[in-house]
Amino acid sequence: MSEASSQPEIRQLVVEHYEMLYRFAWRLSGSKEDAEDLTQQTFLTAQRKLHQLQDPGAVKSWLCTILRHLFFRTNQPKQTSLDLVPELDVVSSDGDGLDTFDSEALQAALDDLPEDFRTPILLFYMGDFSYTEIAEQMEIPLGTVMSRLARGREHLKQKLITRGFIETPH
Amino acid sequence: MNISDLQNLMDRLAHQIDEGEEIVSADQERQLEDELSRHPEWADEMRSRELFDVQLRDSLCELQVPTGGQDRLLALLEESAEPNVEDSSELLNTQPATTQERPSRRRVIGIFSAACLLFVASLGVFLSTLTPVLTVAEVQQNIPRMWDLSTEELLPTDVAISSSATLPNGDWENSRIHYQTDWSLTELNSTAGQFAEFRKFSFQSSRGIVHNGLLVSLPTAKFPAEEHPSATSPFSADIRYLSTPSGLTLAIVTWTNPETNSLCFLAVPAESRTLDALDALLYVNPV
Repeated sequence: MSEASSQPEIRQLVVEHYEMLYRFAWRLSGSKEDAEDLTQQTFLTAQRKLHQLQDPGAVKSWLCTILRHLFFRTNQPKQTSLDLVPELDVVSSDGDGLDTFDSEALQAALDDLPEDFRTPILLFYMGDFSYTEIAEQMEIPLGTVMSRLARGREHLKQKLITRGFIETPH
Repeated sequence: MNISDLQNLMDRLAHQIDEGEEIVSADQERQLEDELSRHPEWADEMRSRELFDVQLRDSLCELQVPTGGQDRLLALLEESAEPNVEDSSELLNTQPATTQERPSRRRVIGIFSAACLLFVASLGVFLSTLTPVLTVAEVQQNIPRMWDLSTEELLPTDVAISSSATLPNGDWENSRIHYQTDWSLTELNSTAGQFAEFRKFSFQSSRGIVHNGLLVSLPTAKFPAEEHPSATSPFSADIRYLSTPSGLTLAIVTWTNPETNSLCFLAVPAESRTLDALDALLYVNPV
């Protein structure tokens, strides 16, 4: 049995992970256009480097790592004000009874978040990665992941409160 | 304990439940329950946080993925389906940017191995034509071929030991030797006819990798040890011992050429512990 036969095929990866990666890229970059480019580049890179994937079970993490590296290779942190946030295409929520936050306000709050805090938030909430997986991807200690998640979450909350999208807790 | 401590502990507990990794002690867990019963308002706060978590997750994921993007990508992937294993960029190197600027130990080892393989491969054909020991005449005859093989890219800089003061007669292990880049390739080439010996050898690294090499004995007189005090500033190198299968102990000196930022190494038979009988193997990294 050749080693290649145990590797997932790139088409399969696209079908399974395209949407998650696209959304991740969008939230990371704050731009629909950048998101499509980033997602494309991620899969093109993955196609070339598929033979380097040692653990097929960690493919989602691997793809996210590629995407993050591509993003940070070409992007400097940018300041985005709420006025500059592009209009976002939003689909209705899954009907869990809870209102979602205003997507543009949320993006503005995310853009305002330093990368060190934004990435764990996105990986945790969008990628469904565990603390340990985030720690491995970002090469930071587990405790740091927890701390950044807590602080990042608090930052987002405060921003959304400031903009009136969440009621002030009492 | 305040609400932040509580949240932190809850995070740790969640991690413990999810992954079975015990990071919250039984005492801490009891303390958590006590605190929650003492501060019912904290329980409300935690519920509020859970609600926020759900809302945040839903909000982050509700972006609509445009139709057609996936199909375009699949078409693109098919177009570029030809294998391309030449791209050796370090895209997947997950080191933070700050550490990428300084080569990590793993990367240096990688460069070192790549340099060995490349040089040994290019030298292999030439070495196969050599007898183990050559005469001066044979050296004279073969040296030009050697330099032909070793292009400028392979031999960016030569080195000479600038001072014997830092090269003790005793144990070299873990010692550091200072070198100066004052011995140019041209000069070395011009002395080719005076090489005393020219031998093929191999040694095995501590990781079990066998390296083949070319050992060149250089007459001491041709090493202008003290003659270039004004040469470029010295830089340091690390030294390790390796034994060849034939019993020869080599001191492998490695350093980074500050001008080209390339990794170089030089093998010196450990028996010749002074500069009087320096046998030098020149292995230069092409990076």
